[in-house]
Amino acid sequence: MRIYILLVLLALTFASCQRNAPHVNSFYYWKLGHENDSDRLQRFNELKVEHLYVHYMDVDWSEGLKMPVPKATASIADDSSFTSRPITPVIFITNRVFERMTDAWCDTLAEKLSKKISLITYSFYKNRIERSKLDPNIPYNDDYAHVVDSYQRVKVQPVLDTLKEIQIDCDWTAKTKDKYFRFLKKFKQKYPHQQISVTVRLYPYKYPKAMGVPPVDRGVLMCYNLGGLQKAKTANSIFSTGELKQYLNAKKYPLPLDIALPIFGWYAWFSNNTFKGIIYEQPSLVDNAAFKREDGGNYRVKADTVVQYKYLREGDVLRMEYPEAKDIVNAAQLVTDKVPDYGKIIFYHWDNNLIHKYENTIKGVYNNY
Amino acid sequence: MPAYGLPSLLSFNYTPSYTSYNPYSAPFPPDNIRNCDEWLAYTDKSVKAKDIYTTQYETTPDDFLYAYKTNNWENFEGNSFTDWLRKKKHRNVLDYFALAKQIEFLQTGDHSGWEESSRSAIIGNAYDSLARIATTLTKKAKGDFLTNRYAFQTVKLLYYRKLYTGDTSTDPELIKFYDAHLKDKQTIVADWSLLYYALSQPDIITRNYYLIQVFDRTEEKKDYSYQWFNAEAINQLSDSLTNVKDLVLIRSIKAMMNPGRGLNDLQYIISKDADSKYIPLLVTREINKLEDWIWSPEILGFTSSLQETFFEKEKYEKDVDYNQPDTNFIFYADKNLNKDRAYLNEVNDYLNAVANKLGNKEFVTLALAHLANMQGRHDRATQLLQGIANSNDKNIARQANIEQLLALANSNDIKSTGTKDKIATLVANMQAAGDSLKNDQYYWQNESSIDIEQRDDLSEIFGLLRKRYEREGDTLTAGLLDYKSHLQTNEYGYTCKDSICYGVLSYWDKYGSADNIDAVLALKHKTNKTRFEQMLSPGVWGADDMYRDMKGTMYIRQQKYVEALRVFETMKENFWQTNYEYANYLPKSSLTSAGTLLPVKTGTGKTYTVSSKKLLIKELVDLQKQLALAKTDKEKSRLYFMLGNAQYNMSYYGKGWMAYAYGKSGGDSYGASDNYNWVYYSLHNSPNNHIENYYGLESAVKMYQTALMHAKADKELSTQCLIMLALCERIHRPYEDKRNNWVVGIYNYNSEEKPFVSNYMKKLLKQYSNTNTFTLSITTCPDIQDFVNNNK
Repeated sequence: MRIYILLVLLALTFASCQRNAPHVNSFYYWKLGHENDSDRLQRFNELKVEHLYVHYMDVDWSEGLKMPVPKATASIADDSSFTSRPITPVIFITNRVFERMTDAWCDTLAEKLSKKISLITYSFYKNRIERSKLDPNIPYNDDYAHVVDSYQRVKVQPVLDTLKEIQIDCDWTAKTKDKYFRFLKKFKQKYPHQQISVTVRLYPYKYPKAMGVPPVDRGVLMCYNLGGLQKAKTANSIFSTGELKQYLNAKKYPLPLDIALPIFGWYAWFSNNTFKGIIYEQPSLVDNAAFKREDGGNYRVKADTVVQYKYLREGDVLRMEYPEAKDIVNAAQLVTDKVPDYGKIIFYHWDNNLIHKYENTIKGVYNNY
Repeated sequence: MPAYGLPSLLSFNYTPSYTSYNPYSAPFPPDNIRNCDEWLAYTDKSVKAKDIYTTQYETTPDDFLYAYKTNNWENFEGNSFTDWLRKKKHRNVLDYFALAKQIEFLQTGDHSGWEESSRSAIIGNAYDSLARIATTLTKKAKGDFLTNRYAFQTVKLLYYRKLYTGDTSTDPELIKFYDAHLKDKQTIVADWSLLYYALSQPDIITRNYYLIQVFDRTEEKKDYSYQWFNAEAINQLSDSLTNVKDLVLIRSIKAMMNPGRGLNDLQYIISKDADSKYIPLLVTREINKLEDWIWSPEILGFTSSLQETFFEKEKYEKDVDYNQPDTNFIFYADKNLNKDRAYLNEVNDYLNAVANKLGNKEFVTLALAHLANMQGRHDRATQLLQGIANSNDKNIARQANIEQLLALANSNDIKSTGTKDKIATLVANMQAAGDSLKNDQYYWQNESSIDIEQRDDLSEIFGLLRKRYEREGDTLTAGLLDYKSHLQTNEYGYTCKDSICYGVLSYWDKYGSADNIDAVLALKHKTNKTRFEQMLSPGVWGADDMYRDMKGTMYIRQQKYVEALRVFETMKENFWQTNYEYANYLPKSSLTSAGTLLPVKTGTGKTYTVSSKKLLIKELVDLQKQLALAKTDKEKSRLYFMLGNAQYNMSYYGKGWMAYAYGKSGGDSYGASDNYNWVYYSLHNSPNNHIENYYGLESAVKMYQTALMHAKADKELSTQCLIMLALCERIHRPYEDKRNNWVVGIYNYNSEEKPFVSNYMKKLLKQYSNTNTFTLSITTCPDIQDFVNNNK
């Protein structure tokens, strides 16, 4: 009966906030290895995922080379998940890149980055098409016709033309905004026909005067990572409705925005209120005698135990940091009220276990917002 | 030892320096020596081993290939190995060597990662063509030695070829080639090749199986293979193995990965193979864990990865609010410590029981002596050490000497002359054995971790002796040992190269008293120092006036200005003008003025031609004298107001902060932060330092309140007092925020989002808005205008 009531309440919640404006269902895909997963395409279809933000690489500062360098570059995908629907490459650039590099590098970085993006995008198609020629088990998709020539060789420009948007992800500060924005301007010049978007954390959203407004086409408002992970008093560093509200009383942001919501989590491990590390979810992690659930949802370690090669001592605390399904729905309501002309709803991030855990919430939000 | 700036000791992980530090845990000689030995055997020992090493490892590919291509061997004159290679009958060997150098050249390029496909493709193509050549030459080569080496080069090239072409699939060609030419071969190159073979396996369990073999068989690839281990696969693998050798190996690796109690691992390994080469490493590792859990925080003040730290303890005791989410920690910390002590006994008992079964007896005795010292059984430790103190093995003898020091440092009569003399002897032994504080006192930051491990022993001994003398109440000895050791225990301090330096004062600044300073100066100038006192004497003493300045400053913090002045009067007149940073930060105008904080003239108006704490403090002494004689409220009010200004000026926020502290940073966290910043550069939170005045402005507020009380009908003075009180209240608002833990969510949400409201300002608006001071304030000071707007 309780489940029934809950379902009714959820249905009512969704019904009450149904929108007419069309929007795109999207996901962040942040798996660097792009491991093969034959079910992925089917799962995309089931959840009606229409678009993907794919993590292409990180750019970090190398003190040794005195220049920004690409790191964690996406390797070649071996299925059609990334060629079957529009994707937006996402490049995460660490803030220290802009702290350390010279002004002149702002332009150079834009050049180098655009070449690297072309290369990775090209490799998605090339790898897929080449393999389908060699391996009868990999079906050739007619959709590729526009990116190959009469000899079935992959053409560069049509592949690049498949990209309609490119996203830069950087946690910039007031100190680095000048260099970051200079880089963005140059980067935008490289892509006159594409949209350039950036991620916008809640702090720059609330304080655009101090933090500046990036010179790009649009932004993604990231409604997570709200609290201090390392603070014992934080209730949930990934998401808290209360803290989200603190930020949402801002004026209209000068850029058109999309909305990113969290479906990820972990356990923050504390010993004597001191943050010791993150413990990732694994089956029955806290479901044994070594842990006891306490008021407020935290777990107390009841026996010394080694988890993921970390030595948890009796008395330590694991703070469970997964957003509740109802909080995600609530956040969707709050943020879409505040940003009614959003273009995409994006979940961070694609992971089979998380998808399983939040499946109904994802479907509900996609259907109703 | 915790890395500087990190909150605690790091978890134990396998690192190359870990094994290299322990001379008993490096199971093989280094791989390059094994390789040279194989070459030496191949040349029938007809060349010098050193020449093989030089040619292999100290000659750049460019230099070798130039000689090879041009047949110009001028630069190799006297090199018996290249002479041997150049003989006609060894031409095929020389060709191999040249190919190896060619490959080395290809691998040592500095690639930034920005290379486009063409560049990657060029490198990939180079690997591809060299792989084809090496494949052909492997088949053509005669004799095992060259065949194995060509096969090794081939396997390596095939691996890198795939890496550069971006092909992530596995390579059946590489696997086939290894199986055909290198499988089960007893040579270093087969062991190295196994790494590429392992990394080319499609199945993750098989890959990890070969990776653990690489770990076992090589030194050079140990760390790399360790990085590739997959924890889940290692677990699955360990369930499927049956061979005892493999079982012992995988259990040893799991033990290295285990940050918790590993006695079960040790017991298992010793029961299966008491001669396992990993036993010394694992015994040392277990002892090191116990040191971290029990001993290092206690004897060295290092922050344990498990126990609460003394920093945290302070916070815990002072800040009740802080411990709200985890009120049980003290209970658990004690419980865990008791469990760890019981575990120490368990490890000791077990090692004692199996000692006879194990190989290196002296190593085991040393381990038992160390455990006895940790247990507090120092007599037992001393007894064990007798057998090994004069060991022929220098490492054993060196460590035995340290163990004797540990036993002695924990004896009851540490303050006796006899014990002090023995300590000095043992420290001298350490120095004779090569332990040193490099050039007496310098950082070791740029040295390799191995050097650090070997060099920090003396520092740690001084550090633990410091703790012992501190506990015995001998602050003088403790302070000198602290300075001498310069242990980086996350506390703010400097190593000094000359006598004017904060480092000579840092211990006294935090923990000392005026008496200590007198004693330091007495020891500094003592002519017939004992051996122990000589040991305590730093390479660089502070200048006498530097110590005196510290003493006077201690009195300033206690508001004993007469005593402070008495000290300053013994110092050179121009000391503050010519030394340290005083001239830059001590004001040359009176501390009694509110300066530009008020739109009217305040204070005595005195100015000086030189920077001098003496002159600044003399004025305060005079004010105190006048106050003692003052009869009228008006007079008292004026004097209290000026003393209030002086307190404000000597606070963190004032122009005269250097009269109170030796350093200041925008990052000072007011002694009330929820992180450890204050231990780096903020004024140390000890009772004598009165940070409540320095950061919290308590004494300034008290003076202004008293002045206000006496001001009564003097509306102008009352206005000045109220403005300063409101200012104090606003200025130290972040301090209050932090102390009350209000900083949550948006950084400084409280002060950014909520307007500041002051009761002092309200009173001012209500009663004194028609005064001259107030009228001038709102026209000339935008801050006060803001105040007014927020407090209407």
